[in-house]
Amino acid sequence: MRITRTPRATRYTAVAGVLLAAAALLPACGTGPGASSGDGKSLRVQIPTGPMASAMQQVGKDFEKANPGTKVTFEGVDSNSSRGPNVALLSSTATPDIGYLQRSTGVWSALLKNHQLTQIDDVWTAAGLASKYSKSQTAYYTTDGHHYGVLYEELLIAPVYYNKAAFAKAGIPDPADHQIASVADFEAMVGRLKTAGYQGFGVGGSSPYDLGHTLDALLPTAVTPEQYAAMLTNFKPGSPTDVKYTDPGFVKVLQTIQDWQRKGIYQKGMLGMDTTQAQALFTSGKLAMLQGGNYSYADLKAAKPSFDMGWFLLPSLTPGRKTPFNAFNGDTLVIPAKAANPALAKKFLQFFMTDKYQVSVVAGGGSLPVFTSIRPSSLSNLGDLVQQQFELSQSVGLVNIWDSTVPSTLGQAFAVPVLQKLAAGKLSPQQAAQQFQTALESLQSGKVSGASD
Amino acid sequence: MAAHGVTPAALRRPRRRPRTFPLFMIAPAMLLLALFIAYPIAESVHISLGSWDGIGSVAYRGLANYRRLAHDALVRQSVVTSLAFFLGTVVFTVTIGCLLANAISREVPGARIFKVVWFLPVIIPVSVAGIFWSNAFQPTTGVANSVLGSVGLGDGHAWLASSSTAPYATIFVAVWTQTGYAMLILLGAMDTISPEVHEAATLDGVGAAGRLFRITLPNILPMLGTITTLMSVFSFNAFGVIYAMTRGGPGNSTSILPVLVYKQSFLDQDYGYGSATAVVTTLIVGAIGILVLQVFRQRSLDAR
Repeated sequence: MRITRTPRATRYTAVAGVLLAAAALLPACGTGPGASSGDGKSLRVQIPTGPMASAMQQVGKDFEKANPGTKVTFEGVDSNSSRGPNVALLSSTATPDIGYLQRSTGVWSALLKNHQLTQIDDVWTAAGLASKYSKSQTAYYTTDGHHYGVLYEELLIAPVYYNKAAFAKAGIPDPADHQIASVADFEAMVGRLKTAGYQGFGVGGSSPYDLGHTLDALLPTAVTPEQYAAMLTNFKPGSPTDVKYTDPGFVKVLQTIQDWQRKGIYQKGMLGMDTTQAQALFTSGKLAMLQGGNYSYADLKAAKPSFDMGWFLLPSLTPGRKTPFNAFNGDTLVIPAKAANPALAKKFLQFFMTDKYQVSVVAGGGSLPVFTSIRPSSLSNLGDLVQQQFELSQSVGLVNIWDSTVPSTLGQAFAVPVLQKLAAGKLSPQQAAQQFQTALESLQSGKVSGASD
Repeated sequence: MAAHGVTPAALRRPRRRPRTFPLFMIAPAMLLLALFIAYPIAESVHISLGSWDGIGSVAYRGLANYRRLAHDALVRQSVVTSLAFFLGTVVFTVTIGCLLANAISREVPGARIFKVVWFLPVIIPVSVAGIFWSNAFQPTTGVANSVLGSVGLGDGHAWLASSSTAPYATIFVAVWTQTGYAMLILLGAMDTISPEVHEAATLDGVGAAGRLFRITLPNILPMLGTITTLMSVFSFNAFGVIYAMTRGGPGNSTSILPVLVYKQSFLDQDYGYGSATAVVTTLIVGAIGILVLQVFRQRSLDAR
């Protein structure tokens, strides 16, 4: 039977078609260029969840007091979201006025490439940031001569915390200058600790970053500074290809990580334990040493362990060289292009990026201030061990952390599963090195997206 | 008569209201389906044909992502892992669910309490279950190892640290979280079987196992097919349990396809490639769903 379309049915179909088309267009409208349509008085600020969040409330109150009639609200974003899904929010018309991201992730490069970040050269000038940051930090936050974000804290990666009572029981003196002379010395320390009834070196092997931090800590001690600098940048298409991940220095790092698993240097079940579980094992007194960061000290103290803690850096893989600190310079506040109140957001950033809040909020939360003018000795609220780390970082030097500087297709997200397979004995160091080299070549060739600016 | 104005041709015109009214009634549902199902699927396919970092327009690259998929060892490994996870989870979930439902249906002592207890894991959020079991499987400190240690089997097993044991641990937890659901659905089907049938079989000397295989199972076959299909879909999409327990590790040994899609899309910001993997995953799940339904449909016909 032939079905005849009536005028009414046609009308319904047409209406449904228009509705569908409108509905299909709506999401697209959400990603189009927006206008600052805010009231100029209410400010939404996105901040990472963590110890600094409560301190930021005070900054909000101070800002409201200094700018009568304004209202600041804070919105938390967790670590996982900030590394990826947050890009959708920050590029939408529902974006907060100030967004949080990690400069090292694809979120930054995607927003920048698509012109979704507000240029804030005026904030930099007003707050004098170029003269307050180190040269490398300023360079890292300068794109084509302009600035699109502010770095507000620095993290020190991979100091190893240790149980002083366990060291005393095993007859191991506190490491001089927080350094261990050699890998052999470190392995011997673990042997004595195990004899004394403790598990050795704790790493959250199943977490998405901790095993990568071991690589980060060892890598600058295994290659020359020039090679290390090349490794931080040679993923960009057209970069020189003379420094390879199959070179002996990188392979030596991989070999060491595998050896430590084979020799039982790590805690039992390291590959199935995340950072929180490893921390719990440490604070319970069963684990003698724990890889952490300046940011983990507050959590460790909050667990009220029954012993005093000390800290040191992992041994250098090149005899005679001291192990430098790894620094993460990625915690960034930006003003998304579609922010409702960009002018107020700029005012807030300028208000926040001062010595006062670097001390009371950043240092108060256990992180390190980023202004070179702030001396470690002037910080009474940093926590004793973190203050020592801050001081030592200024003498032994800082290098940018490798796995958070290169794109995730080569860095953290790629590296940790490879390191897990390496530690599990499923890959030889040479095979793992080849996988890193292949990932590098894919980025260099432009076949894989992810090579950030 | 002109007042009536009705021509014989008009009288013969078919009444169309009955056709337009149903169209009008289903329009909202169709609109919602189009908006929330068809459009996202079409958009995913669109993104899979290009390069996209989450903002702006998709740069069309044809089938490049699919060609890359075909040569990606990690994707192949994830397909194998997903299939193994699916098989292990579905077989154990449906089998155990069926046995538990049968026990409750036969009113074993404490059946009402067991029904609640066995269903409890279903109402626990999978992320909470994942974190709980992740802790339970830790060497020396974990509950699972403590229990094993107390019966002399050692408490030092690092279940999640080895790529040879971690998949089994995740399958165990997936089964633990889903079995109560399967049990409840199958129990509902079993309750529709007339008690007289079982009584007659008992009088004829048929044992408990015989009644299960010759009466219960043939009568619940359609529901068994439905629950197997549902469990297949659930197990293929078991992102929550895996991510909470192992994040796909150690290495990529528990990285089922949804975990890989998450990493490709959100960690690597390579939404085009992640969408291509998601499309392939959908096709695999769809194929398995149809296969399972076909198998059970044929069995149902055979049973008749």
